Amino acid sequence: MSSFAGISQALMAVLSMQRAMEVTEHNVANANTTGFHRQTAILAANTPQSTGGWVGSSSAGQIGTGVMVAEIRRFNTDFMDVRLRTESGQVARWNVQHSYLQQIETSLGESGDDSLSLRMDAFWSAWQSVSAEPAQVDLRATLLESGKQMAEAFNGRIVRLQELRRSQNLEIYQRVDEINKVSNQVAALNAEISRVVALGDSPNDYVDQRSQLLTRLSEIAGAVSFTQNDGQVLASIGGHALVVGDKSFQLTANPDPLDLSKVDITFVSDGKQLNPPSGELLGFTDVRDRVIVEQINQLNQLASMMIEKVNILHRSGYGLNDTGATPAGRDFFTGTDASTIQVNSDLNNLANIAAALRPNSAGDGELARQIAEVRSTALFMGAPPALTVTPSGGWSGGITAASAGHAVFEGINTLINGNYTVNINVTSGGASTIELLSGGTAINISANGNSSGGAALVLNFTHDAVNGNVIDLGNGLQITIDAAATGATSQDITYTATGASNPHQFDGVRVANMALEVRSAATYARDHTYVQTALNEQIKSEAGVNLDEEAANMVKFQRAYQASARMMTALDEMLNTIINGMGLVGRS
Amino acid sequence: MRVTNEMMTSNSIAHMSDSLSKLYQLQTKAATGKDFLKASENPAKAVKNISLRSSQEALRSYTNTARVVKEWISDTEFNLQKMADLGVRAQTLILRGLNDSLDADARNDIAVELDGMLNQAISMANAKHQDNYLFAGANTTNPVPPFRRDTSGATETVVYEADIPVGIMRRDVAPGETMTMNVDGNEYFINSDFFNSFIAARDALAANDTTALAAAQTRVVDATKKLMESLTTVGVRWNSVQTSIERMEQSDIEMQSFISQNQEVNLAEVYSQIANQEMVYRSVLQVSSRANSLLNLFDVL
Repeated sequence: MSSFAGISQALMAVLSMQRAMEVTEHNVANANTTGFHRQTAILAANTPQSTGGWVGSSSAGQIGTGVMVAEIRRFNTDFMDVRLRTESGQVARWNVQHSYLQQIETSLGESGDDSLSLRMDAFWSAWQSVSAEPAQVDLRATLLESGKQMAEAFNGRIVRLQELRRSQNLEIYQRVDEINKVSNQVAALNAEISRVVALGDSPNDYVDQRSQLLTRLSEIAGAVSFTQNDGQVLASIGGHALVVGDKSFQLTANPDPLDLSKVDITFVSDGKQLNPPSGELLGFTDVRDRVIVEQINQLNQLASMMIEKVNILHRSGYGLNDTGATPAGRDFFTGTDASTIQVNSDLNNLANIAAALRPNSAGDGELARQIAEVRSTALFMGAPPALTVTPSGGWSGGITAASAGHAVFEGINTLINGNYTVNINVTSGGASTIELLSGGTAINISANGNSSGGAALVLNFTHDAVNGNVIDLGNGLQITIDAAATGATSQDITYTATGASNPHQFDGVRVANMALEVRSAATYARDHTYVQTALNEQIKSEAGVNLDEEAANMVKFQRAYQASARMMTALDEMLNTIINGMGLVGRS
Repeated sequence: MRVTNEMMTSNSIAHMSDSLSKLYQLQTKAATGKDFLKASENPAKAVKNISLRSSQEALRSYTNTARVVKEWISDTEFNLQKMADLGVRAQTLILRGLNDSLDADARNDIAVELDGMLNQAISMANAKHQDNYLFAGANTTNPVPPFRRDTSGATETVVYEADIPVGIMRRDVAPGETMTMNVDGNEYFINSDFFNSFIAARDALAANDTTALAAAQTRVVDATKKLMESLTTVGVRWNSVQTSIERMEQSDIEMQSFISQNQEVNLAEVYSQIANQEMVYRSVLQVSSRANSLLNLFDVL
């Protein structure tokens, strides 16, 4: 063994302690760095030397050769990181959904003084006032104004909902950009990490960085990842690869050609649609495609039912100057749904508002009274039932070309006045055409008042030869004329709707739905945040930096460094004895 | 458990913001006095609130209608009462006219007085309530008064010139309670012979014909009786409307208290909660400041 071996051993120790001290310093420096996992220098004894051979077998055997830094190890929390990312995706989704829904709730303002419910109340009350004093022109003016305000309340809500819908598209574009940038960075880090791993080192800080980026991908779109043996990760969203090795698949966001207010996200490489399983994007699309659409549908349903019911009644009444024997047949509202509802401009002449059921009767408020009672009339079905109509006898003769069928529906208020496409499926044999009244493909359903209480919709259609058919009226309503009806000439079919609610109950359900959406989003966000926080705690507990610990390590390595240096001095002094003090024999 | 410095910090921040947000919620409640501002804060109560306010609004509009009906009926009653009084006075005059000691001149004087009373009665039958004829059926804005003296025939008559059949005016005076508010003038003034019996009595007095006067007396008595009957009907209606109004006013007060209970906070409760939460927040701050003190091993070694 060399005489100088001790010095180089001491040198190794000094260098190792210095390295360990640097790792400690790195930890202290990154004590507050998000995503940083603490590192530790693993010290190991150097390969020992055998002292056998010609020196003699009396030797003690192997001798230690000091210390070295075997590895700088990162405290790994991969298992928890994966779970944390899943939770982060959920938290991000529900947080976005919650704030988006809150915007909608605030903008609809249904619990304030501007609520649709109050506008409807004012409308009905105005009718009631007119019914009490039908000849009072100022009350008619109030009615007209409250009708306009209610129509505006409907229109404004649709406009606001659609604006909110569009405004989210900006966010979606921004998120898609971010996914593209982040996945590029992950791909670049993958390349770097696999290079370092191939060299046998551990790329600790790169792994930290990549882990952070993967968490961000989960937050945006619920991306999941899998770590391969070469240190690279595979990342995917909703089953479609996003990053493979050093390659990333880019996304693009484009307006939906069928609905320009909507943005579709697709992969550039194969045009497949992105289906985020969680994350902020799911939050945006869920609200955009489900909640807002439901709200718009419910508002439309409410508006169209109000239009239909009020118009049917109003058409049968007389204005102050209507002297003819038959009613003038004016509509109160024009339009067909919440976005188009308007008060008929003919009524700007206040005398044209019909309050009476008889001509020349300024004091007759009977019609106004009936309209005011719509307030508490059950009109609205929860969900339209599938309608199956069974002919109830009286089918005889034969349906010949252009003979008329006649169907009466009571209480089906989802069948609003307007044009419906009628699909006819001939289920067995025979000719397959039904000629419609208009001779075209659309059928005009005219809603006529029914004298025997309750309004009925009368649907007139003309048949060619029919064996069996289904007439689909939309909204899940169908008229089925079964095969036995072959040869029928005319038949009255009556259907009465059940499970109805009045306009205010219907609107209450809409408001409650919205409120529950907001509330459940808040609850989900909070619940997932609890789990996320707990996982974060675990990860920090395992891999975070404790300054006390680092201080102790600092002292430990400092002392070891000092001791090693002292060792070197001692060895130096020993060699000094040999080199400068030996063989002088008394000389000095 | 291994505790790291970042855990301490993030924990303190989480607790502080949690505590502060609770304080914020309570403060909002106290400042607005409302239990919820948005439906999502309490969906069940919010929807109940909508339905309560809607019912209250409906009730108030019924109450307004009932008040209008009450005014109309009061006016009707006033005029009918005056006409019945005229009927009674006419009977007294006719009795005096039947007295054998009276000569033709004196009877003629009575006839003139009776004619004046007829004019009064007709003007009452043509009475208006806020520009609407009370006894013209539903045609309340008829361009001419509904009752008119017609002298074109051999004997004078009073004719009715508004809508026939007489339109009834029905009003909702309470939820589910509909009432006819107008009195059929044609029935009670023309068909009942009220005006025409006056004319017959006057003509008999002018002609100094006591036999005809005696016949006319019976007609006036019967017609006045009929008018009294209509007064009873009107009185019953008035009572009924008045009861409805009182009941609805009572319900309105109750409804208001339901609404208050539903949406308003109990301030005493909220204030004590605020005091409590303030204390919690203060201790969270103190604990946090201790936990995040600058003290660590680096300072001591």
